[in-house]
Amino acid sequence: MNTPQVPKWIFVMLRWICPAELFEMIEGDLIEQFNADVKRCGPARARRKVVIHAIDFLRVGIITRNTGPSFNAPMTVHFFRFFFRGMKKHAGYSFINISGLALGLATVLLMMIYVLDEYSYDSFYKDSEKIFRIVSKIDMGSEVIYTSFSPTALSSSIKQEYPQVEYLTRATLLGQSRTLASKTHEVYAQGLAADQEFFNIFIFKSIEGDITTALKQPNSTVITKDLAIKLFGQDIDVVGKILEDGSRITAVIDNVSNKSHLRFDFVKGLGPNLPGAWNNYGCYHYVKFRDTRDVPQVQSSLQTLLLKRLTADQRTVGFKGTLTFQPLTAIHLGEVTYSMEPTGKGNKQYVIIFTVLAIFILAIACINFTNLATVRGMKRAKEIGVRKTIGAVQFQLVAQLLGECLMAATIAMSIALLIVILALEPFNVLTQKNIILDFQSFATPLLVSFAAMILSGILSGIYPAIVLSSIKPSSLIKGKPSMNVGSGYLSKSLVVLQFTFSIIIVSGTLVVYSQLQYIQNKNLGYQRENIIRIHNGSKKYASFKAELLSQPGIKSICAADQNLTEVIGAGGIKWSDKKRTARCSFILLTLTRTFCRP
Amino acid sequence: MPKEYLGEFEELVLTLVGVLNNEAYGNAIVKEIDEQIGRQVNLGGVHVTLYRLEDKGYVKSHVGGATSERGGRRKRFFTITAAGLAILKSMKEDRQHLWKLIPQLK
Repeated sequence: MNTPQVPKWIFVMLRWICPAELFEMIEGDLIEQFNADVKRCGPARARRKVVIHAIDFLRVGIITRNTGPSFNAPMTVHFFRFFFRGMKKHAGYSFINISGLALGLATVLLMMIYVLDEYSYDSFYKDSEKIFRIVSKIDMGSEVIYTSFSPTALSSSIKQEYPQVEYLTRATLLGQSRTLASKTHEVYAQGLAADQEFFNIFIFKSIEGDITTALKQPNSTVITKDLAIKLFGQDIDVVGKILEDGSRITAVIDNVSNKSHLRFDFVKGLGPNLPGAWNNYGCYHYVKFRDTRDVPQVQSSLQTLLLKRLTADQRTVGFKGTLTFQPLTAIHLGEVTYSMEPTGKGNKQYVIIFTVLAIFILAIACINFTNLATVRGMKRAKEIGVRKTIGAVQFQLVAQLLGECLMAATIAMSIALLIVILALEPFNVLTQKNIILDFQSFATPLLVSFAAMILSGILSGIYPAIVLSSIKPSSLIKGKPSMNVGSGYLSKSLVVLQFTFSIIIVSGTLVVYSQLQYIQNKNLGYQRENIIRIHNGSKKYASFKAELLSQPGIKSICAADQNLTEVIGAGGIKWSDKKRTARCSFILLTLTRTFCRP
Repeated sequence: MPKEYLGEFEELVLTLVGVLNNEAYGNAIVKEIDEQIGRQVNLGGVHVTLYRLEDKGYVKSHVGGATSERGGRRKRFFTITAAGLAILKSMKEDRQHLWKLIPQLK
């Protein structure tokens, strides 16, 4: 028959809180009382009672009776004092050890922040997983072109025939920076032209004005808060003002985040869609789906439609175009590089390289810390021998050695955090990011480096702690004890690993450095430092040129229709025996003669 | 040396250790208090008090043999020491002295 038993966890708990010499009798009393209670009022009540009685033993009068290592205030103070004395005595060692781990952790933190930031592009948009961009692949026979533009003719077809698509907008960047002028100020700004639905797909916070109708009227302009301040010196009471070019401001929105692949200062309405050929790749198309499960079906159906229309039109027969729905969040780190990408696209390879580097550096830092601390711990054999002789128990020694390593790791972590906080601003300048100290960008990196800190603390402490504390004190004090057995292989292989990682990283850095040197010093046939570009110079070119040439410092002037460093626009070129079907694109730049021979 | 005092509960437990003579352990004391004066006390409280009394030297303890009713756990028996008896006695005398001074009790 089953006799009622006192719950097991009660004994476990009591074992923790009661001193060893009292534990057995307390337990006995509880069992005796429990058995009496079972007879008197049944097992259920007896169980309840015994729990209450057991918890009742959580008393100061019991817990402070523990003389063991688990609760000993003076010894704890002693350990702390001993730790800091040791740090002072071996200042050089402590400095190298702690600063090494701190630097490593700081580097890893910054790298992880960078990587996570790259991965989080565009994900801040509401319903970002439902937003797609239609990108195109064009097979020209001789080459394949990938472009983020898609046929302008798409937009009306999608709107009419695909109810799965909730919103669709066309969008196009307004070339290079444009001049916007109010009565008082004139500024350069990056512009975008889009349909009204743009603001249904990309949700922006409206500061002023009704964003749901902002682009409906012709000549409407929506500007960001920063642009409003630049133009008018304020971001309120701006709506309704007329710019010098005649357009009317209809809304002011929040600034566009740095983490958006589309960056702009103002949005203008796009004119009505003109029916054109289906191979006219004129603008971006962004769509928002009601349900992302429809995407594959819509994509294949749209592709069929595109091919049908291309074949139907005499001018576009044989044109091989393919459409793909590219998820919004995949744009920044996409595998394929599309032309006409609005901003500098991220490079997935860099992100992977950085991730691998971060893991390497973290490993080096941890191994380095572990090795140094292990060696140092082994050198303390005598101290531990003395401790054991005067009665330190194993648990106490393990706790001490482990605790010291964890403490050193914690100090390193705090220094690393300080470095990261101080380095964040230069880091932002270097990476052209705008990372701030917030939960979103710091939570994961902090968690990982915190885990690394605990891990390296425990790893570096565990070996000396377990080995030294288990050796007989007499052999510890006599000098070289037999503890080297086994330790050699571990630490040697760790050192080899660490050196391997270091050499890989150092040589990699040298290669990259010389590559950069090459890029910077390669003779391009002109002196980069002596060339200046003036954007939108002047309409009266001849007199402008004459005026400039009269300046003593200016040697020559050349005009071009595009910015040399970002030539866009490809055109078809015809020649006499060109085949009708052969399509190849040329990048064209129109120049004055002085370009080649000043 | 200043005169030592016992708290009310300490005095109760010490008295019971005396009453139970050689049979005083945690549970027996709880039961005896209940039986003799009908007062419910906590086992934990009794234990803590016993240890404190032992620290002060009024009781001493020894470990007894294992019994099956306690799942094989041994008992810690407490016996009152001479100092314990002395303080009980002096406390009783003090009290009686004061009682005599209460007019209503005359």
